[in-house]
Amino acid sequence: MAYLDIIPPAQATGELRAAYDRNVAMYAKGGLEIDVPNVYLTNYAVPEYLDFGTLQAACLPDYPLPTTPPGPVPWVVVNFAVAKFSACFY
Amino acid sequence: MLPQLYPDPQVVQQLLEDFEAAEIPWPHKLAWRFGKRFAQNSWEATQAQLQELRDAGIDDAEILRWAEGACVQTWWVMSADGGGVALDEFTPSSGRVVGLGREAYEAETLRTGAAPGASPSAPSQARVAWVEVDLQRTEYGQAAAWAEARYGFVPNFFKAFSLRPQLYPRHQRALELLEAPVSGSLSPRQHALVRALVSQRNRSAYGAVTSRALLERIAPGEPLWQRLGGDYTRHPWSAAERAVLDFAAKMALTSYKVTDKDPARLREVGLDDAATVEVINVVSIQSSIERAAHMLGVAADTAPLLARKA
Repeated sequence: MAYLDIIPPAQATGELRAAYDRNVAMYAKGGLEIDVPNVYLTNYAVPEYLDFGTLQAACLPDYPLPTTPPGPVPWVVVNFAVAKFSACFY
Repeated sequence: MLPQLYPDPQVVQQLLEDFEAAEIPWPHKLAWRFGKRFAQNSWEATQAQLQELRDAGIDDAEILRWAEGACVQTWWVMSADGGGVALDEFTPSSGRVVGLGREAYEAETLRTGAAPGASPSAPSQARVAWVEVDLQRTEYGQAAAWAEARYGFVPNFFKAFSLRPQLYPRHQRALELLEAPVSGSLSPRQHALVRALVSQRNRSAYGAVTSRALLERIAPGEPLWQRLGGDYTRHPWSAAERAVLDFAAKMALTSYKVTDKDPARLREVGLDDAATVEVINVVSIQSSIERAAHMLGVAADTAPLLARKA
């Protein structure tokens, strides 16, 4: 259970609902049919930040699925290391 | 994710316990070091370390790809930790083990030693960054025009990413969001305090140019920057300011320590969830920029990134 309240996408209206929809559309465009990942949901109180999360994910050329030639090391290795050494469970 | 990258279970276990001892290709090991340094002590990054990547066949555009991924990952990590986010049902099993080793993380964080506020590099006109730049690219030109209009100059951070312009829309929006509180739940003073504290905790000369100027604009004549550079708990603050600073300090380098008591404490001093979300995002967005600046050796700008009409 999150530390902050969450308004599930199914219950969201107005600006928040639109922000959720943009997030789902971003993942769908990237080839992933999923609901809004939990990491975005706690930003419900300030949809501008939820949109920022969506925007930055959309800017990553190889996220959620790879679209460009891989480099010498898959870029997700660095991401995984950032998460591990932040001791982040998510 | 790890089993896909490293099919040998023993290698995966080695990586989780001590990646330096893991039998993986040298460029992979450098990538692990890059991610670790980004997360824990980016201020200790050196130009020699960046050259080591080049020597291993990682070109500057690829280094920037690592940095852009780490920027986004920093937001994901801090948003998840700050909000106490549960794992998604579709989260791969490897995500469940990332939280292992918190004791080691804590020990290594403490090992870094340097006092908060130490600035590793001074503003310089002599260089933009350790990575190469190409200021003739169309995408850079568009981002530069936006920055010129907003700030009257182009930040070195933008120049540093010229070989990898995909994240310019993200960086532009990040700078816009950092300029002032978005929701109205966090006051401009509280917001400026958080920004200044984060720059100090990240030991960021790059971020300090702006966060210090913002704080001095919001609270002229008050020695708040100096107070935040040392043990801020020794100085008097309002109850709300102290709660916000404590939360930001925990978020900045140890977001995994955030518990449900932290947002609860903000509520006790009259702040709502929007204020908590503001703090989480200010810390995570600013940290992503400051850490990337460290890793890429971005020279501090000679003026703050504050909109001319702000």
